[in-house]
Amino acid sequence: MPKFKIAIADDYPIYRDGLQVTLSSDENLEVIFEADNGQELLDKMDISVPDLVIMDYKMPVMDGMVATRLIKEKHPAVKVLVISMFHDEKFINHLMDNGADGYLLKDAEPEQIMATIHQLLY
Amino acid sequence: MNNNITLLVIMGIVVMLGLMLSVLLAVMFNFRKKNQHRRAMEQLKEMQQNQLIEAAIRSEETERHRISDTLHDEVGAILSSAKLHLLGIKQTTLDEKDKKLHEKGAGLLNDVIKRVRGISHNLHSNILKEFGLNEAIRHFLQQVTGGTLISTDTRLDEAYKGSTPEHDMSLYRIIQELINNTIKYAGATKLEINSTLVGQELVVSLIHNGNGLSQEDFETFSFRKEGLGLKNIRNRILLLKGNISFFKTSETSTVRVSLPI
Repeated sequence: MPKFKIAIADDYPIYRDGLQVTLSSDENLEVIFEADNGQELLDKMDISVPDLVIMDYKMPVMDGMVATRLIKEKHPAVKVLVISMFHDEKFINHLMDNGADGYLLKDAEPEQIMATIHQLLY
Repeated sequence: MNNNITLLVIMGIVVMLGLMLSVLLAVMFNFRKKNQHRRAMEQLKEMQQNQLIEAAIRSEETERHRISDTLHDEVGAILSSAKLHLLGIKQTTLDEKDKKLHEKGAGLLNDVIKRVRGISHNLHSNILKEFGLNEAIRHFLQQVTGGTLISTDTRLDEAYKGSTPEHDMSLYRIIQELINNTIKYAGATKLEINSTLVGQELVVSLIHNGNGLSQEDFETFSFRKEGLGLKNIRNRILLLKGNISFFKTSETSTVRVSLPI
């Protein structure tokens, strides 16, 4: 079975490292690249398209809200999971309206993160 | 001859009256000028005082924003990553003692994450910017009273669509400070926040069943060094050209803030 390709975008490398630790618990997942912001993510997606993008909302250059909308316009099949620190319901609804497939808080448990990823990919 | 004397006397009186009138006019003019000068100085003093308050408030907001962002983004990312790393340790490789330590560490980390997020939100609310004053008040109230014995209710006038960002931020800070004071000092178990838009004036009322401040308490404490929160409220009200009133009955305490918008 081919592995699912994942891309991570977050301006904090330390959080990307943490996510890599969590994702390594499933052998069927492969992180194909990381990006510092939404623009870098979109540029890299011109070369290699992942099955799932996991990204922060608040990023410099291009934030997760704009990046989600542009990804969905250009690559509608790619699933987008936004992981951020904002927990306001209206904000999350706004994000979902822009095309996000899932939303999690950054302090979510690893089991919760993996369950959401499985739900989106399998 | 007599006529000449009479004429001279009359002329003398006229000249004297003229001189007296001139002196009187000069005195009045001088007095008016001094009054104008005093008023101008008072206005200048008030303007300078308002500018100082405004600068202090702006600098406080900038600093709050900076600390809040650092806590939210940088510290938040590090803590969340620490949690993912810690919980990435396979439980099966640990003995019973280490499992307990691991569990304890994860619990403490969760607690720190929640506290840091709470502090960050108190310092600066993105909700105010994104969703307006009413939503920010509801969110803050829920955040600070959630998990406590205080029951809350809000009836906020949705006709109020917001003023300038600075105005709304100041009003939000006033309400935040009043809520914090109620929770900390009043011993209330019920807290209600209402707002009404009346013409060009927004009236916000905080009503609770605890032992709140009286108008006299507010006037006294807001000038004391230790009453920094109340002093901030007074300064913000002054700057927004609003009013704050405190009422107490045997059962309820009410704070009423009215501001022109």
